[in-house]
Amino acid sequence: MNTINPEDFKTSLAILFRETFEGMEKIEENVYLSHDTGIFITLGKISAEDASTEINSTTIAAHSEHTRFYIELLDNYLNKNMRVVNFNQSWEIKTVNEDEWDDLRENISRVYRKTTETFEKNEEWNLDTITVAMGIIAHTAYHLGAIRQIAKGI
Amino acid sequence: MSIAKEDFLKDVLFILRETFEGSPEGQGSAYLDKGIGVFSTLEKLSAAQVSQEFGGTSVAAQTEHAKFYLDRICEFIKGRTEKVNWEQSWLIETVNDDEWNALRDAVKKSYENALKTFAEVETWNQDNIGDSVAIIAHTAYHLGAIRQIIKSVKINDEHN
Repeated sequence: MNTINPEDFKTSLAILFRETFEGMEKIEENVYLSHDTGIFITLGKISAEDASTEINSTTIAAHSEHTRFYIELLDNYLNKNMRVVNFNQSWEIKTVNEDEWDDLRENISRVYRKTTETFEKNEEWNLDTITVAMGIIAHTAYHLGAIRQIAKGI
Repeated sequence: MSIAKEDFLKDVLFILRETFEGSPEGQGSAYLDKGIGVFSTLEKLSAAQVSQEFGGTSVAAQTEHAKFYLDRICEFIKGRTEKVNWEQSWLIETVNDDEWNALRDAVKKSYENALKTFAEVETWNQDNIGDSVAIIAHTAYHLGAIRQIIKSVKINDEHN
């Protein structure tokens, strides 16, 4: 068949996106992560102090903010609200106090909810938008893997 | 509006290539920094380096696990129904020189098989779309972990 049902694509995307952030309720529902290893449960167990601890020249706070920045940027792109940004800004945060850490985690939740809605509402799936959507998942997965490895060293 | 199969295939192959080979010269990248991919990450490492344990894991272990997952999911795309014993994906922790060369060669073969597997899919549906993107996400996750372990290995090597 030369076409794909957009609902099939959107459902697969939604499942993987949810797993990346929320994890899956049942072990057998996990597609690519071990149980209880999504972004929220991972960051939820980390204190501001640990998130600010430098391991191998980086911190969990830095990776978290960079991940949030990237998702927001590409979510804006999908919503045709592209702005010129300085990508170096995505790495400006290195340490956080408790309030800043709470804010950062809340901002990640907010951008996750917004992008979930963007994926659901988007009707134009083409070469650009498919890459962007898959890129959001792959990029978040990459930094989740990094964050969980950094956490082992704290 | 339906999705053109050609668009999806081009994109999924593009991101898979970036994950393993890094982004092509002169083209933009989808999600990794320039020059970063599984192959360039692993090629500079010795067997001794990838066998060092940090946080209860090693680069060799992560590499074998990522390859095992890639192979099994490709099998599912091709119609496998038999359950997988995922514990078998974590059997390798350390490697000697020959084993490390063999493992890196095996990763290349698994990647080439994945490119072929994706290209041969006749009908993309919810299951095989999910499988193909999961291969990318899973490899990306372990690439992220591997690159952090490598930083620890290099710091450890400098101190010894």
